[in-house]
Amino acid sequence: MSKFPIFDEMYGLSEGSFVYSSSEENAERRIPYNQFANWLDKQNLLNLHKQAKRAQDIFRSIGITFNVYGATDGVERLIPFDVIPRILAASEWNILEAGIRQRVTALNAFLYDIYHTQEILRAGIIPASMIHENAAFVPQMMNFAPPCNIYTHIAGIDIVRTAPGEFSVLEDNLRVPSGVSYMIENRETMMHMFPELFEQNRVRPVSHYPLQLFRSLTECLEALGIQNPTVSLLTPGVYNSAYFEHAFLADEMGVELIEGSDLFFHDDFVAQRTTEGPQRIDIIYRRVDDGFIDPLNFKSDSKLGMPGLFNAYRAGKVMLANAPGAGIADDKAVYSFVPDIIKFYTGEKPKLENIKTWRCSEKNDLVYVLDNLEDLVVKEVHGSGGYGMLVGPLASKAEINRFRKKLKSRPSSYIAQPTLALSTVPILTRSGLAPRHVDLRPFVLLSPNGIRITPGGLTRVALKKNSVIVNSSQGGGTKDTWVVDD
Amino acid sequence: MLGRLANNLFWMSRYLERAENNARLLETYLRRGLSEKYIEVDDWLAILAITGQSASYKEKIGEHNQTAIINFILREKDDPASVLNLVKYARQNARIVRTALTRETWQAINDFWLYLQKNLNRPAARNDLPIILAKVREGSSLVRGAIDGTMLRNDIYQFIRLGVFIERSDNTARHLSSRYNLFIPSENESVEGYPMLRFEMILDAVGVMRAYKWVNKGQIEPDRVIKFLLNDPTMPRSLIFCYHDIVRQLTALENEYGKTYEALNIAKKIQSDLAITLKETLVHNDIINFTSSFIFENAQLSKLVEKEFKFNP
Repeated sequence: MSKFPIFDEMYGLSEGSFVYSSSEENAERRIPYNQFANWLDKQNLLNLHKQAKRAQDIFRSIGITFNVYGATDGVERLIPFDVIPRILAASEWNILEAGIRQRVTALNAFLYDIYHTQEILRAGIIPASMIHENAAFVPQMMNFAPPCNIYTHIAGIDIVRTAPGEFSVLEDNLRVPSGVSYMIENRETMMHMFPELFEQNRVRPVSHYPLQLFRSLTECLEALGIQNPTVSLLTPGVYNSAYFEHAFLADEMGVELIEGSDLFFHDDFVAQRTTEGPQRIDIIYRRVDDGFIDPLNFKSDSKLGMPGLFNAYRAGKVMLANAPGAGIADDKAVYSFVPDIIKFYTGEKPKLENIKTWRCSEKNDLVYVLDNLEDLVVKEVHGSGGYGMLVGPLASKAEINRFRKKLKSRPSSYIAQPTLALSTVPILTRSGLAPRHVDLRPFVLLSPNGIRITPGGLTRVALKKNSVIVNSSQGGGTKDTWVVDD
Repeated sequence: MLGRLANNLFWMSRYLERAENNARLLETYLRRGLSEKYIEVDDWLAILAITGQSASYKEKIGEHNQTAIINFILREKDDPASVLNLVKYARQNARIVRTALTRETWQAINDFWLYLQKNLNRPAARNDLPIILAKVREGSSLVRGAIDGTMLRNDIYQFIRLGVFIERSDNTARHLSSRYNLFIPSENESVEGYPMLRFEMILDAVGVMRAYKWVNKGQIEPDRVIKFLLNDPTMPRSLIFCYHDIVRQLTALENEYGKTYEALNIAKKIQSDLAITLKETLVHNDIINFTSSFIFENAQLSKLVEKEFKFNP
């Protein structure tokens, strides 16, 4: 599918896809990979495969698994882990970090504005209908200021790379971003298997994330004079696909992992049912989607939340993170306006580019998209997990025609983007190293004391040759991600 | 601590304890079956009574043969009391309360489950049984060791221990009650050596044969067997030992929470009844009455703990 040269982060530019051969051992490597590549030259393939198998065993033993929805056997799956790390130089990371900082600041300001005076709509920068008719817009949040005006306490910004200096944002995740436990466990596993690598390279640590998360949350209430607030993590339960992560984070933060049924009102406060009686909760880090947190205010058949929780939130009796309604800022239709959003709220030029996006709701864009379907990636505005999308260059004629019909009947439900020459990083395959496409999700914490970004993030990798779909639900894997100091 | 988590911790340890006990029972009968001529179909049926699977076995399998019974106890997918399912439930409970367990404890339980899942996927070959059953004991020991060596002595630990000892005392009592007829002299005089072997099997299945012989200089006598199983405070599976620990854990919970609980009063009463019973009324004929009422009171205590500590909404 590559009409363009593809950038391999270890070996530089290459024409299309290739399998690294032994002659590459002496090939030029990009600087951040130097130390690692020297180490790699001394490894034999058999041993690497043995270690890769060991990594799988470690993951299974620790229980780093996810449940697949709809799979009736209830089997817990492993997300494939590749032992070749993805390495970023500190100088590259600095570019990313500055861009992410700017972007998250602007998106949080956008949320405050949208749920208050809506200056950006008055200024005509975003069509009002795109906000008000959007399913991710939560009118119940109007004129309510969450603690310290923070909506997105936790954000995951999906980044793709197309050339050495070219990072762009593919997607923002501001609702309940997941994957951070893999970032931490991938590192743990790598350090366990290859301790020598961490002696040779100065890799920035990631293990402090849970502590920073805890601080970021509690700082919000401490800024309002509430000392030592009680934090709990609300999970949909043990059958949720990300349950491992919920348990992991609760454990690392030392907070209770609660379900909706543990919650009730006591003396007008939100309390959890403990063996000693009711205990008041100040902060709920909820890993339950907006619609399910409160059957009285949102979906009435939800069993995952607590009736009246949203009222308690609006009355200032409990803090929810992230704030309900934050999803309006990561909506795929709003995405194309983010560069304007950044300019509007920060007065600066965006430091990180967006991917060129055609809004099928607009007539001219739709015409272009319909004419170029075989070259484009088309996404459903409200879809996620890589479902409901068309990758034009990889699709059959029949698939394209079927999609064309869907597109014509509901154009405003879709956006389109060019097929990107995503960068590759080698993975370990049976026959040796082979390039595979990757993306990157750094995790961002927003608190009244500032923005914290864990160096690196989660690298997701498409394990199938030429595939650009990295989602774990569709056969993607993960890698340890290093930011190395020179 | 969340009441829901206390519930999961309590049942996690009850299921683990039960899985180990049932596996040990199977092990005993398998091993004895090789060398003793008196192991009969009746004995295998007695095992099903102890594991609480008689009715379920009758309904699902019906015919009595050794291989079917072994597989039923070990790996029957549709019976909640099979060893495979008990460990599965223990692990499910543990997964829900992961945050309350140390990584060592969780991993010991998870590895235990992964082993059984792999090795009991199909009926176990006769020659593999000893290995698998020993592995069940080992898996259970590893979990116990991880709990002992890594867990804080707080309410989490106390609910785990309550589960262990309520389950264990139930198990020891069941062994006695399922064999109460042994303690009625007239019924056993017909076959020489018969009762002796049965007493040994009880001790073996409880896992304390060597300990008994150590304490009693090798003398196997009904009175001593009863005393050892009911009332020896040094024997970790005796009823009195279990109740000493139950009382200790409930007392610790009272102190920790600064409240009083009816469960502690009940536990203390069962504890003192054990001592009195042994002194006054241990006429052989009474063993069935005594064990039945103990099993009932023990189950009542379990329910009271669930209620007083708000295990359920």
